[in-house]
Amino acid sequence: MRMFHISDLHIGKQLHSYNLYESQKDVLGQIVEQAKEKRPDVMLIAGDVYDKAAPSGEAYELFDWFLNELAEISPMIPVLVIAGNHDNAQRLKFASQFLERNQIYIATMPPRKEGEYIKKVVLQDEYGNVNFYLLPFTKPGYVRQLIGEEKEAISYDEAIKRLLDRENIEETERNVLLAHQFFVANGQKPEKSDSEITYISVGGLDSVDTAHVKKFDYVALGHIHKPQQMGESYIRYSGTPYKYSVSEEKDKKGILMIDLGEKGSPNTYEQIPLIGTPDVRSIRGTMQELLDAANGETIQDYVSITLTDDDVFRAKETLEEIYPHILEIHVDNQRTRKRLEQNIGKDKKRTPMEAFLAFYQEMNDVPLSCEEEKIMLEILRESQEALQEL
Amino acid sequence: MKPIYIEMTAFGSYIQESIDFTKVDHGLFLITGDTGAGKTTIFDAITFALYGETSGKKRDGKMMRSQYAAPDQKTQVKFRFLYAGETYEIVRMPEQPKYRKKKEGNGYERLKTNQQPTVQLILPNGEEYPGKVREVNAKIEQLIGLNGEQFTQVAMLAQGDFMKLLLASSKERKEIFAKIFDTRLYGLIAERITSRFNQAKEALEKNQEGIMQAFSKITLVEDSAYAEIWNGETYATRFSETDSEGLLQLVLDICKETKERQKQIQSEKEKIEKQMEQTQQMLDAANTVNRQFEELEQQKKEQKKLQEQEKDIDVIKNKIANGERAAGVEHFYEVKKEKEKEWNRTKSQLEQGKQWIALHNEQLLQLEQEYKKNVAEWEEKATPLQSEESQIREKFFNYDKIEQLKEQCKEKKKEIETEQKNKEKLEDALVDADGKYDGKELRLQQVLEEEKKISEYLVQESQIVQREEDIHVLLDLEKKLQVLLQKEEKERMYLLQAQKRQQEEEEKYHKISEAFLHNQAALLRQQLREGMPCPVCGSVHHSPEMWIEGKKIGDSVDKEQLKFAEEQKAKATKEREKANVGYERTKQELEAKREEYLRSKLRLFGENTVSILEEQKAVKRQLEQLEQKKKEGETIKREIDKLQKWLTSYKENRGKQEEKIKLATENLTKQQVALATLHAQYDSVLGQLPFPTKKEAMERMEFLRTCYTKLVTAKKESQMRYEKEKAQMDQRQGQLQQLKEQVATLEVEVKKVGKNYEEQLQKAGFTDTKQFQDSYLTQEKMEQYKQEISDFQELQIRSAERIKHLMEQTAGKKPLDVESYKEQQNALLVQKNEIEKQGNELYHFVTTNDEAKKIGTNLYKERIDSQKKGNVLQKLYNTVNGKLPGKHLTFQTYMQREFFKEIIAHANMRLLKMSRKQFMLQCRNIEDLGAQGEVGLDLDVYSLMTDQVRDVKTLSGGESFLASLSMALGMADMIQNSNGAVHLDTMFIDEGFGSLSDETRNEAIRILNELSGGRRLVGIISHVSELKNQVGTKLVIEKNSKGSHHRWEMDVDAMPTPL
Repeated sequence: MRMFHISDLHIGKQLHSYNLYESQKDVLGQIVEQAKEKRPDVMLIAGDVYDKAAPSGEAYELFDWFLNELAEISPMIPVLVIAGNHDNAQRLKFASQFLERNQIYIATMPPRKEGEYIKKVVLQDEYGNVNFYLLPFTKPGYVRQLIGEEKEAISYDEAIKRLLDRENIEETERNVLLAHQFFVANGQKPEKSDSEITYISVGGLDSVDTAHVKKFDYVALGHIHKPQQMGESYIRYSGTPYKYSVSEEKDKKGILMIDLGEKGSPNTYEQIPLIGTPDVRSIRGTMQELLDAANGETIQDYVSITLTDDDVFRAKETLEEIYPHILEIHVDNQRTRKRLEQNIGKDKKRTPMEAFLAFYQEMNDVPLSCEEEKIMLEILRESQEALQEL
Repeated sequence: MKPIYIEMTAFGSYIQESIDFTKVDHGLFLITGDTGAGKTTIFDAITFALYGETSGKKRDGKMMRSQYAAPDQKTQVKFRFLYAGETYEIVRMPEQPKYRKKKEGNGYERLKTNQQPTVQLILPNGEEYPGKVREVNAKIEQLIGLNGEQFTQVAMLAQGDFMKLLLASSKERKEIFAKIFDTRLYGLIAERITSRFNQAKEALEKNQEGIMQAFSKITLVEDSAYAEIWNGETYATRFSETDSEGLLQLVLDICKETKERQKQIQSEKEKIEKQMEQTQQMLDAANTVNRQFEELEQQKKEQKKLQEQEKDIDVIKNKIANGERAAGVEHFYEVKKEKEKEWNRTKSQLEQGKQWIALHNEQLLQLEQEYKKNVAEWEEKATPLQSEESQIREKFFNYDKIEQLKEQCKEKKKEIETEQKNKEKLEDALVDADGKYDGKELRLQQVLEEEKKISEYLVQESQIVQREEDIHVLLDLEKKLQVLLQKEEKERMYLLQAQKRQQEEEEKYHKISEAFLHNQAALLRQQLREGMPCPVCGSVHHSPEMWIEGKKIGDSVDKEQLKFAEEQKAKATKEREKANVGYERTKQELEAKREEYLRSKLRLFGENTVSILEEQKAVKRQLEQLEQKKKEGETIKREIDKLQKWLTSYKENRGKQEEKIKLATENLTKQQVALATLHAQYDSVLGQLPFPTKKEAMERMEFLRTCYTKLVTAKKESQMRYEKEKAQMDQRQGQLQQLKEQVATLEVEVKKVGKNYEEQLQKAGFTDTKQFQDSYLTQEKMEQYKQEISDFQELQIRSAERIKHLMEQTAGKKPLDVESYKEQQNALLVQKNEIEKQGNELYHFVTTNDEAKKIGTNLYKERIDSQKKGNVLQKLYNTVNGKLPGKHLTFQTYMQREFFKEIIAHANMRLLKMSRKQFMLQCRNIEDLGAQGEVGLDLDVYSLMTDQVRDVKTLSGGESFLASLSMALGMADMIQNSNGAVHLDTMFIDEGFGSLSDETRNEAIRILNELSGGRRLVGIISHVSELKNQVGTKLVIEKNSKGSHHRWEMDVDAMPTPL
């Protein structure tokens, strides 16, 4: 069975107040084209479809367009979607039952009451059944009643483990899990990017151990924006389809294509690259270098500029003329570096005598003479003694 | 300070609401709700509880009274918080109107006076802090370490007021810092320098006074050359700062002048003294002459006296002559007298000797007699005593022997006893062993029986084990059988399927092949010509009518299709065959296994229907029993061994034991014989003894010995006494003879000496002894008289000489008059005294001037030192107290600036992140400080991009919020790090996030979250909806007609708690 794994679309997101609608539409278009070409048997979207809990009208339009384009491909490719931490469960759930009839399955909440189970979609291939478990972003609070502990707070790890344990997973068949959590493999955390906004809670980490999901044949993860494996080759984050921050400059964005083999045999993986237009990158150099480097194609890119010149007159305005999409401008030259150092390097504690020496020097422009120093030392000692008596 | 619990009664929009903050011990939490719901009121309540003011200062206590409250409900806030690990509670009421129930009817009426504000502070030990409102407020302030102003700048950033922190003046900042950072040390330093500096100044002044005083003591001589300048303007004050050298020089000159004057006076005095000397000399000379004349007169008088004394001198001369004569006779007189004395002495000695001899004769005779007696007695008694004694001694040793024998008998008796006991022991042991033997034999028999039984039982072991295995195998078979059944089923199904398919394919093929054939036939048919042989059957006649059946050849079926169908059919057939084969095989296996199974079952259990599992269990039980029996078998074996061993050893030992007994009996008899012998010996010896006991024998011997000794001693003693006496007597006799001879000699000599004397007497001219004796003079007397004479003669000579001398001296002279000299001398004396007085005065001046000069010079020297010191101190003083031109920064303020800079550095760490390194805060440089008022802690903004400094007021709204937040965090950091007593564990931020863009807000939240990780608590009021999703712990405030209410929404609650 061939699967496409994408996640963290963040439709509607803005980058430093630039609207990314066009870029996102372009990337989603590429995904559709690839689907037409490679003909996957299923499309997995592992969460964070929208960027905000209340997405803009435009965002809805875009996602709607995407699903329509996908639906044009025949035979129809089933689309499995879970809600991420940025999605609002109720909104995403709208019309989900109608959508199911057209093979678009959306899971927005984990099981919360007795009798409820993780949403499972069963597809078939030549080797038999493939069971897809759709586990949307879960907070321990959602499942507290179900797990049954009244007083204690459960951790994320505990909650996910329990949820998975109570499912009747047929080990002889192939099982695939979609999840949207912060996974940790043997204590090793995934690499994060600046664009992730972590959830803040009072006490308690939100990390979940990959040990709980190792029984699956493939785990399609979302939440982390950089594509990576978590310990095992079959537990992966697909990453965002587009670069959402300057820190993702070097990431290779793409669709994860997985060919699921027979039970027991390994899967094959391929990353189909997605080209984002415009690209997001950072550049650094003197004003002259930056002006020289500006040539036609890449000039439209979103750039984060670091100037190394010493103080160019009207730097910002000049750069804005050349580069239309500037994200931010930093200045990193001798002066600023010195200034920043000054800010940091003040930690050493000074003795009163040292402080006085500095003070004297500053006030008189000459250092303290020997006699003066002698007198000061005496006075300092006396004062310290007097202070102790107080 | 961490809030634990707050209860608001009739406060703001809360009628009665308690909020428990223990759910949020640390971290970030959000207070959210609609506009006007009562979010800021909570912060107000906290600030009010602590300080009696509200957070924004926009509403004061009076305004806090709730509209919703009933008249009998008093506005009150109860706040419990944790500080430095201890729990405190404050209950505070603002000023509010008082109500009381109306006397008639319902309702309340308002009283004229208002309820005064009250406050209670309950300490951790439960006691209430005593005192009035003001004192309690002061205590609270002291506890928290900040007053209301400072608290609202550092810990509680109120709505719209956060700019306060940024825009505060230096003075206000200094006040806050003074509480938080201890800069007392620097204040003390400044004090000390000031005092030292003042001291130095004083010292200089005193020094000046000293100089002035010293120099005022200087006196000038009369008509001094320096009088004018000394009393002139320059030095009239006796001090000069600038021209100290000139002054000193002048003083020096004055001293010199005085000294010189003194010298002058001195030389005058000397002159007068010389004159006086001369006068004196002359006076002396005159006096001498006068004296000489006097003396001459006197000497002449003396001479006359001496002449009168000459007669007496002659008498003496006479006496001397007589004496000399008598001296010659003296010697002979003496000799005579000596001899007479000696003669008399010897005569008396002779008499004495005679008397003694007469006395001692008698005694001698007595002693002789006694001696003789003793000798006789001794001869008689001595010998018999001695013989008896030796006899006894011979028999002496027998006593010892008797004792020995007694001892031996005793020992022998003891040995016999031991032997007896030994023998008895051996006999007992033998009897014992015999008894045991019988018992053990019996036991051995028993045990052997048991062993036999067990081995019989064990024979069965192998059988049972075998059975168990068989059962196990059987169960296995059963399982396999199941599996095979399943497989068979599957295979059958598969086969059925395959069959079906094959059929289908066959049909298909058939159809197609028919069609094909038909087609072929049709083709063939077409090609057939009459007369041509049919390729099929060879016939040459063809009647086309045969084939017109109207079979419609439907689709043209070509060879390909046929082939394809054939292949399919073949495939299907193959599959079916395969399936068949498989199925058959499985079936066979199944049969075989089933047979095996039945066989085994039959073998094990026969025809009975049994539960195999039950059987298995039974067999297992049997096996267990078997094990047990095995163990028993082993124990029994061990016992058998033991018994057998014992029995063998017994037999051996018995023989040995009997031997031993025999030996013992023999020994016993031997010993008894020996004893009898000893007894016999004893009796015989006893017979031989002279005395019954040793003691008596010894006594007798002693007695004999003593008698003998007595005799011997008596004899010796008397002998000694007698002989001594005799010796003495002989001696005396000899002496007597000698003395007689001496007396005779001496008589002759006496006579001779008498004669000599008489002759001499005559020669000297004396008639008799008396005359002689009268004239005799002692040597001394003689000398005395001689001396008198010589003295007298000398005097006479001298006097004559003196007179002669004086006569010579005074020849031609006369006595003189001395009066005039005396007068002269007196006048000179008066002059001298006068001069001396002057001299003393000047001496006094000189010393004082010198003194003053010395003091003055020293003081001036000191002054140089002091001035140097003073300058140094002045510089320090100016520097420390900010009195340098253009730099009005005291040391204390400088240190505060350092603290401030540190705070800013901490603030900048966050601000740089939040502003994405666009700008940062800085403390205004010293050069740019104003000159007026308290300065030093002003704040500026520095833009990294443009390298420009601008005032803090130029920041935009959002930027100002970021800057104030960073400042507040920086201050909180510093407060935490320094050792101040202020614990700032909580921070509240009221709005401000709305003015930030998404990314900036995320950055700010991130920073606040970092900061609150750990022990700090940060509470935010915001209406921004994104924050609601981002922050897990929320305090939701809702307001309805019954006032405002709160509820907590935490991560852990699935269902929100109902209102």
